[in-house]
Amino acid sequence: MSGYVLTWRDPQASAPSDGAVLLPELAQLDKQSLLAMPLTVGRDVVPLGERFDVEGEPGDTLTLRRLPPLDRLGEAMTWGILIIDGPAGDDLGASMRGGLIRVRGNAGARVGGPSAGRHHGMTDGEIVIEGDAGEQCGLNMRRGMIVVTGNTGAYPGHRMAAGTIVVVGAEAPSCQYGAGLEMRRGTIVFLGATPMVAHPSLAVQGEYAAAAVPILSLLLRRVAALEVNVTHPPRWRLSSGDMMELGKGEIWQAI
Amino acid sequence: MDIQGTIIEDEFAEAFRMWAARLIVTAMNPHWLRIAAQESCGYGTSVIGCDAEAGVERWLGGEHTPDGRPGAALLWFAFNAKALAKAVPNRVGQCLMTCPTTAVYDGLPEAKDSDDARLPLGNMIRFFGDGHQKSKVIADRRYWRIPVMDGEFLAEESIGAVKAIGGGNFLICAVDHEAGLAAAQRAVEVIGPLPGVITPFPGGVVRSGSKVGSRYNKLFASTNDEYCPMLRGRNHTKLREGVTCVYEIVINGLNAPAIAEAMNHGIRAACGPGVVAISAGNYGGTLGKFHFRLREVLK
Repeated sequence: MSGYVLTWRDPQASAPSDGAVLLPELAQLDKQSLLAMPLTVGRDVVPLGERFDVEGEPGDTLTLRRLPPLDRLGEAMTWGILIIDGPAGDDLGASMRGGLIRVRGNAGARVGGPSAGRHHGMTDGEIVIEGDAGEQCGLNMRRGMIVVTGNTGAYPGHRMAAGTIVVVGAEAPSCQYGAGLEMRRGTIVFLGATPMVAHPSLAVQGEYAAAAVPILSLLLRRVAALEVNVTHPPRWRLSSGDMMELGKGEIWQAI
Repeated sequence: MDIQGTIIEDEFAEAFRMWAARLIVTAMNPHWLRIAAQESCGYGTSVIGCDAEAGVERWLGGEHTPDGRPGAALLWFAFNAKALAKAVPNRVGQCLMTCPTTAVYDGLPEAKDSDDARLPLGNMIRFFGDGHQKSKVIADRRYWRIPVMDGEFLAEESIGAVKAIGGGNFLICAVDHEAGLAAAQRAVEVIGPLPGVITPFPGGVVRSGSKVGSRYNKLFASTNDEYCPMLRGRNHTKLREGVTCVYEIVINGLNAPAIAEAMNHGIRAACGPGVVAISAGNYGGTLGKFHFRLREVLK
């Protein structure tokens, strides 16, 4: 895993205006070009090297350090690895199409949701949040995977069309409130102990031994491959929905 | 040349190009896994009359399967990729999907080059779900989930197929049935754990080895009369004095080194008291492009 580490020099200064420009594609530039890249900060346009310390060499990974929580980080990302060493703002990975985003902190609302003016959220790629995520995690998601090691805010998987959300912590009641509202397809997995507050248009399908549902083992093994500690619960409860929509979505809760 | 008193004839096995697919099958417990393997590899001895030659390559612990459940790697061989593409979903649909708790995965995911083939599996079987089926993409691999009465049947979208070899073989020429069967069983037991090969016949052993051609127009294979002990005297024979029972071990493999190694181990295990000679079946070297000389594989 090679690439650049960009460290924001002055945490007290205004942050970059557009988090969406900080994509792994920058890691492919030579160092001089990267340092000279124009960066909008407030009303100013400055060379990136003026506000960031840059270490490393060209590769496929861009690591961001000491930034305040920026919105739209990883927006429309198609490739590579974006590591955010700290919190991320709202709309992380909006309309993402590939690659991996890892946040070593919390993230805001609408992780993997749609970019402004678009209908679909992320369509591919993987997002790992080593902390909590805000409301509407996976809004309008259409494939790809989001892993949250802590909790999410309310309405995870809102209007989800496909893809997978795994909430490892899931101890806070908020994260299971309104889960899968208006969901069409896709999978939400809650590994924590908090019972779900199911909205009325979910149908409870019963309890299953883990060995009878191999797809969950595949998903949890993928989560482990993303360097997230997971246990494999022996039993699960399945709810399907949203029955007011297509009804092919599924919510699995560890028992 | 002899091993433990058994003569190694100066013969060669003549083998053929085939295509092979490897499926990883898992189930909830070893009981249902064995049944799944047995059923799906059944009627899979020879492409002379079966749609595939099938066998268990090896049994897998949960640490070696995609979903952590007990599993088996099955190797299925056919004349060509088209025949395999027909046989695989048929066998999976009729014998694996029907078997409780099973799931099926691609055992050759690296088969993506232009020389290889991708055979639709879940892509075909999904229609059994009658519109209720779903798929899940995990790390660029798509798995179809077909709702069935015990939950769902999971089948990977496609499986890889590669050029392989069928028909590696050796003949155990023994003094009687007891010695012949014991030798054959020893051979099959040591070949079993070797990677990349199967012995597709019943228990790994053929009692009715064949030759190409027949006096009857409609048959393209018939009994290997030169190795039939009860025809000695009536027919030209290749059997040495004292041989009254011959068994053939046929080995299919993913590549020539795997077959050669299996032949080496199998022949050495078969040799011993009661086994007069080890020979091999061929067609003069004009039909199959892979030749395994006995005295070379045993070096």
